[in-house]
Amino acid sequence: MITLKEAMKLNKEELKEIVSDIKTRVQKSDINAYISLDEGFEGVPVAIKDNIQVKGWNVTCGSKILQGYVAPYDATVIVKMKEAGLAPFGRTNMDEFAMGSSTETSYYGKTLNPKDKSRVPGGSSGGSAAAVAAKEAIAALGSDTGGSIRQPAAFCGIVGMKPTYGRVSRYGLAAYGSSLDQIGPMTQNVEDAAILYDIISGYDPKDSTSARIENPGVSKSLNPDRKFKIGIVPSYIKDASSEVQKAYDKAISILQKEGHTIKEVSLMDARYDIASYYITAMAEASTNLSRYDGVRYGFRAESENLKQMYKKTRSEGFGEEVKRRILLGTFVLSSGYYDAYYIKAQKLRNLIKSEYEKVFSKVDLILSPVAPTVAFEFGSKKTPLEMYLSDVYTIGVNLSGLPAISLPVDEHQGLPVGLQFIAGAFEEQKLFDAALGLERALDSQN
Amino acid sequence: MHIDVELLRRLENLSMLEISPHKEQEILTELNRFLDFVEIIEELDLSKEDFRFNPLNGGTPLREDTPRVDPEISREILKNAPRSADNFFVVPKIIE
Repeated sequence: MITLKEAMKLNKEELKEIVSDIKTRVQKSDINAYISLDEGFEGVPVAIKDNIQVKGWNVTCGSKILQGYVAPYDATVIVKMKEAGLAPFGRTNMDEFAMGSSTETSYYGKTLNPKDKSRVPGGSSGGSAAAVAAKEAIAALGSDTGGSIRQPAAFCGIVGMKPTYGRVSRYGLAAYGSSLDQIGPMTQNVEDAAILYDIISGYDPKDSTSARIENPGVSKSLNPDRKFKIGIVPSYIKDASSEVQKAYDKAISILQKEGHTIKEVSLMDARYDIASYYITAMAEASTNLSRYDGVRYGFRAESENLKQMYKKTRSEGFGEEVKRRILLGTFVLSSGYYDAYYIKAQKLRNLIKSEYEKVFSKVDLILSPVAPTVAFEFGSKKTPLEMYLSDVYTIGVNLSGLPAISLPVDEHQGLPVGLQFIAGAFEEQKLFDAALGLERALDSQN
Repeated sequence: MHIDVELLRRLENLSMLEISPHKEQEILTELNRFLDFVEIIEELDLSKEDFRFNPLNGGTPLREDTPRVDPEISREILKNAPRSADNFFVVPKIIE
């Protein structure tokens, strides 16, 4: 598949050919990466996760409850993309309301991992990751609340980047965990990710949490030769699978050869991250999803009275995982339990954030696994909690609002192993420079 | 902490959801499994930490309080709503 950088040099006719080529591939494909091939715009086609508003499209967050909804405006990232000559093309599958790590909870059925169809593509941006990996998209947008860009990128063998909280406007992104959500690029290589990141980032008055700071962009100043002090976290690695440990060792030795300084750092047990994250995300979800009541948009279950209508609409419209998270979110926010759960999770979040700040006073970047294993088999996680625990390496970044980039580093029996660099807030240039350097070194080995 | 059937009913009411009786035990098991796990927070001394958290250092930026409206958005929403008439959403009767 042509890269984003190359595609941006093509003329209208050439782009039409690419679009028709993508359509043919998607029609022949059985991985279910796309929900539908919505189009209507001219430019370089970029696949869009089904929770980002594109005016006139049926944006549904992979849920029954949004069937019939038509987005009345473009998300800011879509406005910016169109201005840069990119065209939203196709809605990609996702876990319902981005709540999941495997794209199994979508109303439209599961997406298969193109590298091994018995395995999950990761989630929640599994459709976007699978589409790019299967050459069914040049590039895609995803959203990352607890790893939903980086983990599917790692499972499918592509590049996925989560920007600093506040760097990319959330205007037009269906809210899940508002203090955690960020939109980001999912691409075939690091340079494409930098290009797409530059296009979608920047201050937006329509998002009250958008950071009003200079946004110089990264793609024009990419420098794979820069040398960094990179932190590694030995205490994290002991619980990862042997394939992931092997990839980690491989990356460390390459980075050392490339002239970077490797330094051991410590972070607190990441199980605490999981506790703080899920309490926070569920609390925010229960609040954000209260708007889906059958009155204004999407699906409505007709009933005799209003209260029954709310209850029936929500009970029939939401899937199991979404209901579970709403119930738990309601619990941790409810009178009598708020202090013991929600308040403590916020205190813990402050502690986690300050731990990262301490580490970034000593190193430029952290190298970390993205997931404890390679892509797992469908149905292999027996309980929801088991699924939550698999997010152990990604959610600290969201809790602390930091940027991170996941890139493929190794392979085990045909399955990609991705690792991530994490940087301090608004240090995206370091992130992309280091990732580009590592990608180049890996390419020269193969 | 343990969520029992009575508390579950309260949560269903608060969140406008109905869990079907045959799913009740399963969901109670899952909710309690989660609460057992997050007990690990109790291992930490968090007494010195601030309970207020803002993902942006320095807090949310201030802006002028200028009203802005795009009437096309409300028109589109009303047009595609499950039921609407005369610029209103239509819902089942509230007052008997």
